[in-house]
Amino acid sequence: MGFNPWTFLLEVINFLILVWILGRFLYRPVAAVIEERRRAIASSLNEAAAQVARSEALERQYAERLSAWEQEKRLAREQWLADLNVEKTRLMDAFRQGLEAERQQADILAQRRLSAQQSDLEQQSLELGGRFAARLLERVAGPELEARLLDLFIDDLSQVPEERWEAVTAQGGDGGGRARLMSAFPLGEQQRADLQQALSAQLGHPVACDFITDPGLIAGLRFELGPLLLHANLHDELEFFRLAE
Amino acid sequence: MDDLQPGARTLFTLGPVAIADSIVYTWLIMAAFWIGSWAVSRGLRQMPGPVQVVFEGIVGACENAVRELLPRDYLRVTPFVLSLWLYLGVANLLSLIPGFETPTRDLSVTSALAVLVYFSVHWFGIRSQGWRAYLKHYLSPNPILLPFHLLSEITRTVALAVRLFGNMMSMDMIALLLLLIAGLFVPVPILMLHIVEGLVQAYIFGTLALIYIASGIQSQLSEPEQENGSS
Repeated sequence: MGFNPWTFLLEVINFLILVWILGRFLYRPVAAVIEERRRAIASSLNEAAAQVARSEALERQYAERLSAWEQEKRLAREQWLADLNVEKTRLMDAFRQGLEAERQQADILAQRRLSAQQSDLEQQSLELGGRFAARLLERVAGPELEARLLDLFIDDLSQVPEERWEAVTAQGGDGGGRARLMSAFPLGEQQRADLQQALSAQLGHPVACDFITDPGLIAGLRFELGPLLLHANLHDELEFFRLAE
Repeated sequence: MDDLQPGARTLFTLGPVAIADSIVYTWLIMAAFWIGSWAVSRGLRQMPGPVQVVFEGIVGACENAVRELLPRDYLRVTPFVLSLWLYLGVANLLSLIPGFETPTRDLSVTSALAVLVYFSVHWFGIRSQGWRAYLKHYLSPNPILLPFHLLSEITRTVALAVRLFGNMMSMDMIALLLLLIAGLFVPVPILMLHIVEGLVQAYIFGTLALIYIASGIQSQLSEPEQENGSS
């Protein structure tokens, strides 16, 4: 239990040496490794934080770009819809105009077709009317009717324009030519005399006439003298009526 | 009955120097630490193995304990406190190995450690702030307290040495007496208690040394520094 100064002194030296040993070979290397690892961890954490910050920035950038894309897409879609509506309106207008033109053309064609049909019907009606009138008049025609027409012919001679008579005179019809007078029924002597008298009075000189019977005239007369042609018979009247249109 | 004598025995002499067994055990512990530290420091890697993890845990725990009290001077103080804890922890448990004795049952050894703690307080205090600032605290808050400061330092140094010596010597004596009286297996609980007692005494000695050093360094801080969080 005694105190030994040599042991005390050696223990002091030993412990100081031990402090140096542990400081040199244990504490410093291990602390350096710990510190290096701590720095590496801190560096990794900083790098991770930087990467997180970069990723967040990229995420924000992506979100902003996505939003811009959405906005651009919406604007493009609106523009496209507007253009589509404009094009649709233009095409519809063009279609309506074309349709209207087609309709007008169809109306014109229909009107033309209707007019043609109406004209055909009128023509057919006239032909039917003419044939009906011809048959009717053929049945009622006779010397009496012809006498009546002869009277009308004589009465109407005064209504023939003067220039027509002058044209007959200018072409040598003044006594040199012969008149042709066709009738559906043979004329009596009195009728022929009345007729020659009326013609002579109208021309101012006697006229020689050839009296020809033509049953195709149905009833009445046809007078030819040079360029002058006068009708007073049912056939020519009906033909004139038929061809009037 | 020679084992029943407390304290160390002289194994041999080198001229006038008597070499006690506690010194030899200390050399063995130093050799073990040297070899172990050298082996560990050679294979240090960023991805540690199990042995490196254990040593990093010990060093890291010690460094953190010192840093909490001395955040500015922990790099300078940590090797000393680490050496105290490791040496005393191994030395106090050395007697568990048959044929070995704990060096701390020798009052000369514990006195040497206590005196080293005493001088380390002054050494670190002076290195931290200089002579004038360090010696000034003996006169504060009143020069009348100077004798009490000196007496306090002497008594706490003596207490350090005697506490460790008394505890370790008594534990060895009790275990030896029980082994002689009761037989082979009865001292086993006492030996388990010896493990706890040895580790606790090592922890107490190193912690007290750390507190004394920290108080010596912090007593040199100026009042504004103390107010700014030197606690």
